[in-house]
Amino acid sequence: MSEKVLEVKNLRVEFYTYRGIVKALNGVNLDLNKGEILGLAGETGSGKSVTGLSILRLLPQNARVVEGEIIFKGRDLLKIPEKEYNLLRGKEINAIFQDPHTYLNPVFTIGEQFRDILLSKKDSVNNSSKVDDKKIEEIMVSALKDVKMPAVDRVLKMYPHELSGGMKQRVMLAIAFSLQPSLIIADEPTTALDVTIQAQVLEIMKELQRKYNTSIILITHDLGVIAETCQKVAVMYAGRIVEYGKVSDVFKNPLHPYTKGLMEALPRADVDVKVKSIPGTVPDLVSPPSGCAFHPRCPYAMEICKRQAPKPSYVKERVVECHLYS
Amino acid sequence: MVMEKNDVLVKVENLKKYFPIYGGILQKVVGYIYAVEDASFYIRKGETLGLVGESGSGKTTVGRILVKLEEPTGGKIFYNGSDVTNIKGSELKKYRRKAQIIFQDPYASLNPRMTIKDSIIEVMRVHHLHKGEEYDNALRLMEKVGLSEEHLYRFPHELSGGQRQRAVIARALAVEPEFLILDEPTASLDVSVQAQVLDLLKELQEKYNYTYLLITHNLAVVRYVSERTVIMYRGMWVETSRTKELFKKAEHPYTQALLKSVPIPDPEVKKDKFLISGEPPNPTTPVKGCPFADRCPYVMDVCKNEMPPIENVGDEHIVRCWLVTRK
Amino acid sequence: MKKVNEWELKKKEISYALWLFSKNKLVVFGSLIVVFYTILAIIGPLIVDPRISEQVNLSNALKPPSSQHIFGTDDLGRDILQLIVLGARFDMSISLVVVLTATLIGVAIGSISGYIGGKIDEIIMRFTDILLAFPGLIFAMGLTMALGRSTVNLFLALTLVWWTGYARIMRGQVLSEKEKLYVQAAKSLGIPDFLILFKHVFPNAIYPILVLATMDIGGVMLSAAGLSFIGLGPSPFEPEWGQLINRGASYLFMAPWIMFFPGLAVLTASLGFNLIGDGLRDVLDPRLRR
Repeated sequence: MSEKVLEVKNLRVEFYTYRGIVKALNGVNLDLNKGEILGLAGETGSGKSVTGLSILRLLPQNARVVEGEIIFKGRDLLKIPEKEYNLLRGKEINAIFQDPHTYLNPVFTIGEQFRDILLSKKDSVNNSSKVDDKKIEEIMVSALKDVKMPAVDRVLKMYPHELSGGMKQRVMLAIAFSLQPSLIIADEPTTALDVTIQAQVLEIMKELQRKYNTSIILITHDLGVIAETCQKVAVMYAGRIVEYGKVSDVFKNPLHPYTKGLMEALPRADVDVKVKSIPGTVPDLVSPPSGCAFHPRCPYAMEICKRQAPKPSYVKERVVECHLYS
Repeated sequence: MVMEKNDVLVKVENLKKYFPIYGGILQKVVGYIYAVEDASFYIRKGETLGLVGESGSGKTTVGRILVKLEEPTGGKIFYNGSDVTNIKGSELKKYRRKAQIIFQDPYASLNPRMTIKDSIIEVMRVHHLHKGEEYDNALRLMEKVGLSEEHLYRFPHELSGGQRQRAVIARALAVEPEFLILDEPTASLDVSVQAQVLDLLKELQEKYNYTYLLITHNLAVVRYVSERTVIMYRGMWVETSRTKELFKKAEHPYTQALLKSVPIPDPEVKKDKFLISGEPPNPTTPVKGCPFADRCPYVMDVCKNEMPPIENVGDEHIVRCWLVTRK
Repeated sequence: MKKVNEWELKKKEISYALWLFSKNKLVVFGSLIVVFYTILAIIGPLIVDPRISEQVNLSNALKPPSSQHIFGTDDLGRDILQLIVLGARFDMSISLVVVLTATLIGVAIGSISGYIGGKIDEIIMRFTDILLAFPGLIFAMGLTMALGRSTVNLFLALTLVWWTGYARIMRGQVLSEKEKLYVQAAKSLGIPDFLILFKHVFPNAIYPILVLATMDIGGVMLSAAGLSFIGLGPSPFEPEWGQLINRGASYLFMAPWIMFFPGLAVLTASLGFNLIGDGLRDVLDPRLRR
């Protein structure tokens, strides 16, 4: 039985810049079931990070949600007032980012910051407005043990700069999972880490996800990470999801020419492959190409691709946006 | 002197680099960062050697030493048979024409206020090359890297990531080098563009017989581009081999861990988990014994106290590991 | 092989910069003020007879603003509006000259110190620190009192106080630019040190100085006015704005217009420069960040 945790419907987001209006998201649709890990794959300008930020309602000042709904447990996240959304933050919905420096304050110890975060959610911590220090301590220690942090007591007293990159990301995971949220948005959580540390952190993330049955949207450009961590994948290009399906299906048999191109452009550490690059560059989102945004780079482009943007087609359990399949 | 394709062009022997740490009011030396303890390898003409490691491995420092942006604390560097470890002055200028480096961040390595044309022509003027036809040569260089004339007049911020990297390569080629050090050349590029730059580098090597030192932590790129590979950990080389053999029969536990940690973009590949605990080291203490001892799952007492000897385990395949020696 | 016209491109760049500049209403306002005062400085003595500054007409003294004397008259019977017009030349020129000289000295010393580094850097910086330790205006006061009051000494005092700030900033800029990747790349390409300093580091490091200097023009003007106010400026008859404010202080309640209008002039002129400095910063920065 899979209940839907998140439903994104026709999300359109624009950014107002001095160069013009950047159409960052051009109609994004996706579903997330309970306990599922969805990979959001794409390159620069694909819109994957913007999608995550939209769900978290952390878009910058010059962004406008032009259209769309984000339904989380029956409520449209885009329409509820800020106060109501804040009740969800940390407790129901949480986030993990690439750079620990963006969320760990250098002048406070790990323990102080973690306590502050839990205190702000004290209603969900103790089911009352009274502060229970013991309970908070318990949660912190348990969360750090969850991420296999050595010497938990010492770490709580340390400052962020005393920890390595991998340990900081583990702290991030600990905080994110501490109140057992239903949904976590992870935006390039391991991109800045060394390979061996990345493997550790991803393994911990998978364990925690299994333990708490959290739904995760994992945003990354690293297809290897998606293959090893996610069950479903959505490939984004120029603000739209061009292919969506089970990881095993999409990777074995990519349907969209862009997905195919990406797979062929990857050198591999496990086998010898012939690498083929995709000609051209990612489009300018201020004036994207007409019709299908990928047509200037597509080896299968037809006349209709230049004129009309393709609508989503359903091929077995896959969703593809390509005229080859409509 | 005519060089055979199989001759060794670059040879590095026991390279060491310690960075002093200053402290106190009088700025005295209070310690060292042992960035490189022992880097030793050779590269043949026309060959690509991959230098692989994570943070703290010292690989970037080795690259910088090879282009003389840093002076080694110990060890020797040989280029084309001559000792270039301590050259200065006009000798240094001559060497600079032979060995060039491509940095990881193409945006940061270009002067933001100079057009590509100015950046390239400046290099030619400084070395008195192509006097009188600098512009024409710049055009030729652009063509070589797959850019067009209009790109010459752009500023770095007006180019895409891939174009910038090509512009940087064009500038490096302006001195007419033989040896290129590529420091994570594709790390800041998108996937679809990485392949373009890698193919360009391969093409240039085939046409002009360039020798490459590819510094990276990306094993997939190493496998695709380099003929031989050196694995470094905590400032020391631990295993060197032909790339094909390394990926099939890695002997050193660290190499094995690295290979098993790389995420594979194929969900059907089942990997046995070989997770090593701990973090890459912060090299503020000198190495005692094997550098990998505190993280190695097969660690023995001897590993902590004595440096393992070099063992020859195959065709151009050498390792430094007590486990291998004891076999 | 078609050669792209470089001049066309340069013109496009400049016009884009000007366009960016003009989009900020405050900046345009500031520029207009500065242009106005510059014109006043140039043609001042041509439209108003400079000799009126030495004409004493006590029967006309302390007259409030009227149709005959729009800003009123001072204690010597001189028309304040005319004095302000004459004073523009002095104030504008001293602030521009002081800032220019201080910038030149500071930038030169700062760049050399930062680029060479090591012992020389230490020595120069300690020296700068000692100078900086003196509170600026008090130091200027001391100098003027020691050297005697005159225009030249006022200029010297202000310049000696001001250059240290630029030196410090320039040194910091050069230090940070030195470590940047494009400088390292230039080194590895074999470009000699002096070329790196002039062609690469300098143009990139100078930007905060330009912005600061523009804003400082207003600051110097205020300081000069301040020094004149306490009696350390040029001769008492000089129609310098600070001087006028000084005179006006004694008559603050009887004839506030003597202090008010020259004060307004100082304020608006320095405001104009500040706004330009602001606008400069916006124009210069995003272009680089783009």
